[in-house]
Amino acid sequence: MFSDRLATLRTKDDVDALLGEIDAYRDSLYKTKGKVQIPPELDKLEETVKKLEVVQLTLAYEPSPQDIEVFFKAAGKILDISKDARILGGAVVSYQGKYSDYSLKKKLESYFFVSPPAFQASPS
Amino acid sequence: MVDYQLISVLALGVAMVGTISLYLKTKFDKKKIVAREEEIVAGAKRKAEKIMAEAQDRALRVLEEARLGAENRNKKLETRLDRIEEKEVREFKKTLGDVATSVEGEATAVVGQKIDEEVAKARIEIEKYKAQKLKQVDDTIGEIVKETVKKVLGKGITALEHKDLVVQALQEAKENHVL
Repeated sequence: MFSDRLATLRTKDDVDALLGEIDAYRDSLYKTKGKVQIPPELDKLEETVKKLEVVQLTLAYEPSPQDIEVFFKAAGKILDISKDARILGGAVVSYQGKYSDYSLKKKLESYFFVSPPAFQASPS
Repeated sequence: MVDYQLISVLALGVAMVGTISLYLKTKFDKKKIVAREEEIVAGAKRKAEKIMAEAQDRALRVLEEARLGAENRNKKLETRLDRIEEKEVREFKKTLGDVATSVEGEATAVVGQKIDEEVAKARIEIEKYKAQKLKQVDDTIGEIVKETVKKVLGKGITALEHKDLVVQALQEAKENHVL
């Protein structure tokens, strides 16, 4: 019953929800039937879900489900999305200890403050 | 007849002459002895005077020699003292010069080091001040830029453009092996 959900997982929230549902289902089995044999598929699914790779994304806006679908396909991994309007646009990506800032804020700062051609003193 | 009286007189006369002669001779001899004695005493006196004179002369010579010797020694001593004084003065001057040079060198080195330290401190302060001011300028400009971008672009960026920017970011992350 949960196997078809695996293909629909896009975000960390989806993963947490599914793991919560698995736990709740397992609890419900104990409560209603006492000592029961947990389907091995359930444990296997839980294990698979827990092993899914997650990429942290910081975005400047609240993405729509369609946008999330696009991002999931582009990243190929579960998305852990948070919002920070200060980055203005683009995304800050963090994955397995690697961090990279592809935000509009960062690009603007790089343009103006790292190599600011407009601010270079012209020879008099 | 023998004139005994005459004989007696003559004998007495002879005796008297003899006695007188003996007396005179004795007196003469005595005088001679006295004269001899006097001569001996006078000779001894002369000898003594000569000896005294010679001793006096010798003493004077010795004293003179001693004086000359002392003068010589004094002169030599003065000369040596002068030389020693000159040497001491030269050495003192040399030592003073060395010390002065050393002190001057040390002082120069210390002053140079102090100047270098002060310059280094000043540079650090300038760099700090520069960095602080640049940061202030950066912050100010950054805030202005951000506010401007927020006002101009933030409201102007559509959801579609946001989505495109995020997709572009993910592609860059893949290219850079972040993903």
